[in-house]
Amino acid sequence: MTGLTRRGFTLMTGAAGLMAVSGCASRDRPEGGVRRVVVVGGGFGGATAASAVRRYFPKAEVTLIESSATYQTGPGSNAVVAGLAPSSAIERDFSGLRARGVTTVAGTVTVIDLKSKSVKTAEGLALHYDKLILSPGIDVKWKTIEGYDEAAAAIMPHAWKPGVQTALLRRKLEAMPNGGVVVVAVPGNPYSSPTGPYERASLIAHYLKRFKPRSKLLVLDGKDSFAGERLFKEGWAQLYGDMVEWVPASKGGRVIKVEAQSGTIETDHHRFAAAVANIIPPQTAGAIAHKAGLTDHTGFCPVEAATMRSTRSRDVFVIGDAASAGEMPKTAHAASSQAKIAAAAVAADLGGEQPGPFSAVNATYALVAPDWALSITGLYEAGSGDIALVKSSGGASPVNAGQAYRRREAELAEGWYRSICADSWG
Amino acid sequence: MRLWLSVALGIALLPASGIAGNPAMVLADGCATCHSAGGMPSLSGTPADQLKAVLAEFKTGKRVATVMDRIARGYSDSQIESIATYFAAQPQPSAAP
Repeated sequence: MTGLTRRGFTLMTGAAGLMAVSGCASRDRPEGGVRRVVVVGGGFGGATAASAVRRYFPKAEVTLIESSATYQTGPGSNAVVAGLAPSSAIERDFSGLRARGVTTVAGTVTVIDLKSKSVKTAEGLALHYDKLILSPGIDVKWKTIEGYDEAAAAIMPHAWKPGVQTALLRRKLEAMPNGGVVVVAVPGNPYSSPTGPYERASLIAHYLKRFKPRSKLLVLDGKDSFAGERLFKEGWAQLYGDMVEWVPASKGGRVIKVEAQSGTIETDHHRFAAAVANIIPPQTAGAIAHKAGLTDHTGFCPVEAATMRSTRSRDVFVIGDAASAGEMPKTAHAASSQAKIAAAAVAADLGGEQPGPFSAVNATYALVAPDWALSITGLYEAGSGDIALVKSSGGASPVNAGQAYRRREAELAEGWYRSICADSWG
Repeated sequence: MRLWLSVALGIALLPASGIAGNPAMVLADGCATCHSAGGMPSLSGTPADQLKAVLAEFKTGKRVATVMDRIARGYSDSQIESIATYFAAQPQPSAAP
């Protein structure tokens, strides 16, 4: 412990006081043959996985490592961008996980050694694992759009990882003049939160309509169709008239270059001058997944469909946005569902049993306005092949369902958010 | 949190064979994502026949829903049986404070 403290390392021991962590590699295993499950990442996937392992295999010692002391959720972050909620509304801490007997550690995992089954953090912690559940989320792929690097993101925020970037985009919107053009650039598939960019465009339009009504919102898209398209278009036409314009890839929507200083955005066909540019770039699995050798040519992590077990290592499970999960979209709910599947497989492994069948739910809500929401759902299974939608299930909200229906789904969206947060973090 | 605590009591009910001996628990935990504190009502302690009847109505569209009909349509009858039996055996959550 002294060594850790000297390194300025923050260690928060679980309420159950399960373990004495040591930075010394020779003492990096739990005493008495206790099995250790290490979870990397404190988002929906990681938090749910840590909780579920405690539930399914209470004898295991579970340590969750997350780089920040709190976690800001993607769901809800568009409301923060639009000034409808403070960032505190989407901030979760890990006290609920500790109450569930999870040991939480603030640290950045820099090494995953698949051979010795150990992880190391930048702060000097070394931990052996019996099973590892990796839920690192996505990282932005810099420079796939010419000129879009970290420096450019300080001017043209992506805001696709909630926190500093979210606040930056909010400030840019507040500072822009009435009558300016806001550009939301959306990548091709796959990326985290398929409906997220369109919810963001909607809620920014909601802000502009109230405070800067002569402004224009352009959605420049790297693809020709998107999840919930008919519903978003219905809502945009009803609520925002011609303020919102969606430009598909085939009409020159794909952004290929930006000049952050001048506020210029280029697509195959056009140049745009934006007062505020929100560039959501192509994405890849979190850096640690690449570094550990758990990714493939897609940039994401191949997994066995039934268990979320990495095809690269029997003792590693990858869940959430970083995993290639067949037809399951990269959403908070999908990450949470996959976390339970992976936790059950970990428990089965530790107990020397066969895991049960794969069944996972996804529900996604998106706001077109604070009182106008749509939903997309599905039930997923994994037979012998990839994870696939159960054909009889799923679908989106009906079109032209009327204002009462949209308002009801906006209320349900709030309930969903409270519930999934309670389920994940306690 | 309340639901989690109440279902956490279910750990004691877990057969000695462990989680793989109780796939219904994992299946039912899928419901907890929406049916937790602050969200949809807890299902713990609901009589099995009642839950089966409601899920069947969601499945056929007889009961009007926004998302639950779209999810219920994907569950097989045996999955619905497992889910209903599991929740019926769970203690009801204590009253809201």
